[in-house]
Amino acid sequence: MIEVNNLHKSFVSKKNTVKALDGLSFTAKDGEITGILGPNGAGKTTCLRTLYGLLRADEGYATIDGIKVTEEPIKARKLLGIFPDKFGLYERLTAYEQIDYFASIHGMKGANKHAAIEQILIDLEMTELAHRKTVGFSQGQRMKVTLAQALVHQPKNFVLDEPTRGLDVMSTRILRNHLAKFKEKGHCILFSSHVMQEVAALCDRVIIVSNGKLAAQGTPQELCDLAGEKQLEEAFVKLIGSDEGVAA
Amino acid sequence: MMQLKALMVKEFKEAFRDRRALMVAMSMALLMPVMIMVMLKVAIKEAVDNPAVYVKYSGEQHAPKLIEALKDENILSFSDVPKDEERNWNERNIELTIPDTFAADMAAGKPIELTLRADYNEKSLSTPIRRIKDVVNQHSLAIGYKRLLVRGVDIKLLQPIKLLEQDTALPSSNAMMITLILGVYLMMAAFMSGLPVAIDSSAGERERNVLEMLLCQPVSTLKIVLAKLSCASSISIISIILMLVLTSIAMNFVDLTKIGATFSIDAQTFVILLLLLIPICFLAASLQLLFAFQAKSFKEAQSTVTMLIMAPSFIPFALMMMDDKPAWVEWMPISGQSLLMEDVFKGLPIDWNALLFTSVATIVLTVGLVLILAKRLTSEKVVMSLS
Amino acid sequence: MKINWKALFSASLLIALSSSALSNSAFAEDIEQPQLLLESCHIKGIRQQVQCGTYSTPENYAKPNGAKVDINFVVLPAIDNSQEKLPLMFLAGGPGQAAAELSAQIYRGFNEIRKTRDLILVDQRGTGKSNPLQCEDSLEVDPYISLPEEFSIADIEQCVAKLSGDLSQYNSENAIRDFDAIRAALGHKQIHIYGGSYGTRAGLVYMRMFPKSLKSVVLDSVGPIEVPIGLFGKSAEQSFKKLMSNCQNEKSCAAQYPALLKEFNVVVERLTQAPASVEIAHPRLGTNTIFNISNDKFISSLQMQLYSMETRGLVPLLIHQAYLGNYKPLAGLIAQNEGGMGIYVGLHFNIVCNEDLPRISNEMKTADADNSFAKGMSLDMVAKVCSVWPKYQPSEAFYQTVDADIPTLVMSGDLDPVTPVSNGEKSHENLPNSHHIISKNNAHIVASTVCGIKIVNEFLEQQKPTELDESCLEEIPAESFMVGLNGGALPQKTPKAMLDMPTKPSKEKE
Repeated sequence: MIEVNNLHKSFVSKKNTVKALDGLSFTAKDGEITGILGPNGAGKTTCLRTLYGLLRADEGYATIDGIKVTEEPIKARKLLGIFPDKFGLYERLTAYEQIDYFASIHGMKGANKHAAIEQILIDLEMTELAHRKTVGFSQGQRMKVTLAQALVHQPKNFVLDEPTRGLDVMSTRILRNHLAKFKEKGHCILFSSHVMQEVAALCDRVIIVSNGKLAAQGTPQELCDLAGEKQLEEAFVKLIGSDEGVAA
Repeated sequence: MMQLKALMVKEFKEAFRDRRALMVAMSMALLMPVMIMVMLKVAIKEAVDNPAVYVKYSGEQHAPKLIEALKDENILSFSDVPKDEERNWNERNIELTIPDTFAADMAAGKPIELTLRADYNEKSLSTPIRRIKDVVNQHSLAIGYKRLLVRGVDIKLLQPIKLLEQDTALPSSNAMMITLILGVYLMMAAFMSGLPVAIDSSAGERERNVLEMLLCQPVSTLKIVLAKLSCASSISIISIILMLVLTSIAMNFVDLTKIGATFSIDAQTFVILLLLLIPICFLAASLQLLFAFQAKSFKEAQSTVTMLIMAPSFIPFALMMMDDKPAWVEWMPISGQSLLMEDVFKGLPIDWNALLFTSVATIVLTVGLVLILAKRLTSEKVVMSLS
Repeated sequence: MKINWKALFSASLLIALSSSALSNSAFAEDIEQPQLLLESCHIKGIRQQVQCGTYSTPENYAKPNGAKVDINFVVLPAIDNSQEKLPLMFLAGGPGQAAAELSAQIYRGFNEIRKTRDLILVDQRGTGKSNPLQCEDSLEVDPYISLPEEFSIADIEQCVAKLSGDLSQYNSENAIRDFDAIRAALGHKQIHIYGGSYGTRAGLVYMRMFPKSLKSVVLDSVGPIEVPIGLFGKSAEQSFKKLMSNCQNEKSCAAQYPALLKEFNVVVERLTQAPASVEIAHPRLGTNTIFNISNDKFISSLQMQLYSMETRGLVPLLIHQAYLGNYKPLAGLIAQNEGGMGIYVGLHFNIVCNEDLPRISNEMKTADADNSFAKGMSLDMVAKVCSVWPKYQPSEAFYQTVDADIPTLVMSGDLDPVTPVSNGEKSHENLPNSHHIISKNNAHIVASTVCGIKIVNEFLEQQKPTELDESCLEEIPAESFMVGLNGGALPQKTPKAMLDMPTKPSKEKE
């Protein structure tokens, strides 16, 4: 379970101060897929980074299964699987080696680790990729590797920052299926996205963030009802109170 | 521990698969012996002052003693030129004409006119011409002195004023330059060999968006830094070992005694040099990582970190200029090692205390830098520059 | 009448080379503590900086807390500035030469060795700046007018009276104790030594007293302890005879001087009957002056020329011109030596009179005087000086045959007028780990040639006396002679030397 409580975060530079988070609170429950929607600059990535412990909130806190990220970042991260917004690969390593690397960092070893890696390779249908160096991988292949390294240790909580960016239909489907499987097993999944249909199709709950604040939350249907619109997209625009975000 | 191992395994795997970085690292090691060899060859060529010169004499039978004097300076008759050099010297065409009246004029005390004919504009002839002139002048002078002496003249009269020169410069020699350069080069190798690896694993990883992923993992930044540090410094250590081995092999191919140089890299020297340089490798790697992480981009990292290389090459030269070395330079990192290396090359007994001090100082500094870097990596500033 | 010392000791000289170089650097006068002071300094004739130092040693080693002698020394640093190889200590000749004053010549002559080794030059106590024992020539003494045999006992007594210090302590053994103390003070466990001429005597004493301090030894033109210094009659004769026959074997010399030996005998005959007196232009001042030539003056001048290959070339001309009544060449030679030969006369006689002269029996004297060159000239003059010189008794051990098992290279020049090949042979036989090199076309001091230095350098590298490449000795040219007042010049091995030391084109080197 991921809990975000009254997060405030400002970035101070010489010229100006940007308020990225302004008292954001929400909860992503186990066994649910929670989607974060928000226009660019709404604070989604900042929020997620605070969850990873990369950023420190000015006020408020985030907990992963009850562990405060700021206080015990390493313990908290152990419970997390992360699919960051910008992901790169170690291009001189093979896919297998990369997954192995992250598995080891999470403390897996020996036959256990090996089995876990094999399993994830099969799950993501990437066994034939496993022993190739990742240089030259397609966007979809890269996504799979990143996904594999985020999931190999079977994290209780799973955070994805716009995972379907640049993916073809097949890859997107694999991702969706996988997320659905995780949900079944009772994991907590939090992911941010722009794509309304995807959020609508996948998410049990949707959190709309705007200007660093929670604009609305609920199931996709609830949100549509709240806004009195049929389409989630229309509801979204209405709920954030402007259409500038969508255009961007 | 397991985490650290995994981190290190990955760093080493990446480093050793990075051909370009490895090439840079090892090229230092390969170039050094070649460079030293070339330098020595040049120095030796300069030091061996008397390559044979072949002169076309005419009338040489008239002045056997002059010809003998020339021969003593390795200035020989063209008739003795070896086959393979014949064409060369025929083209150079230095002619010395000795008049038929040489012996008679000599006995009569009359001035004798010798003609030296050659292309004075030809660069390669300037030294041979100078040498011939010197021998003829000295020979002439020697006869002059003796003529006066046997006439009962005090030949000191010929030198009314004698200039005594006192050079206040510190004595230097080719050999000293070579050892100095070898020292600087080893120091630079320690600094440079790990450089591409250090930049690649820091600024490079950030640019490839893999650093953020790593920082989100449940692993302390200290471990990350240590893994990267040990990888970069291992590369430099390997490079230095390679360089020392190759250099000691290369030394066998040049005759150092000709320029009055002695040094050999025996087992003990080898070990001492390694002891001196290994802490430097760690220090260098930590400095490079610190600066590379600081930099905004890979490019910037490359340029700022390259500036770092100036330090190890600059410090030994600065030390050379220093007359009164304050005590702290002896244990300060880099300068301490550089002074000790100088001693090693001079064959002086090694000052183990100084070695211990400077090594400890270097390692303490390295540890400090590592801690600073680990702290830096947890700061938001680093994260913000990620995107 | 004042005494002309340098004319006097030319009779008993085991001199390696001469120079009047003086160090220019100043030292603190009073050094209380016996510790090493080493500082950069300039030495006359060397442009680059070298290292100078002083070390206080007890005047009498039996009384370590008694009077001190400040021993002056110079270190010529290795060109490569390295300590990898053991240094070489140079032991000067004489006795009475100050090693540090020879710095400039050694700096050049020993360049090959100096490339990789420090050279240590210590002023033997009683010379140079180590409490010098010098009898000054009075300025009034005119070397052209005065004759060497004209000196009185009073002159010598007067000189002795002026000397400071306990003369009995200024002996060879104490000199070696000083050398070894400086070796230790410089932090060297072992060193190599090179001794030339009397320096070989010093070297042999060093080998006996401190064999463990020596890595290897070079004895060049040996004066073994068994052969007292001063018995030069026979060796000078053979050297002179070889010169005579070499002249006759060379076409131009034989043609120019077909009856040289006869002429020599005529001149000697003439001068023995009555010294000649001619008027010449003063070689230095150009004014007219009287030039007196006695037989002793003539012979001792000739004998001095026999030491080096370059000056030997002048001897036939000198004899021939004297025969013709022209003594100007002789005056020119004497002019060269004006200004001293760098010998500390007090120390010279202090050692020769006490360590050597007492060992010469009347029979030895008579046998040595039975020669056709200088007869007994040298010993007579030395004996006269020694008759009033303060006495000391050298230690018993001093006269022991030295048989130290140290790698030793013994070198002799076949034409040497003072330390003949037989001397070298004697030491070679006594020293178990030695090798004797005889250079055919060489007079006194073999290391005065490029080839000689090369061999010494090779020996210092390997310390295997029998495995040296001596082939270059064959290439040293035979003697060549000046055959007329206008030349035929001598082939100059090192023409530069003429420019460097115009004061002494004759005897320098090494």
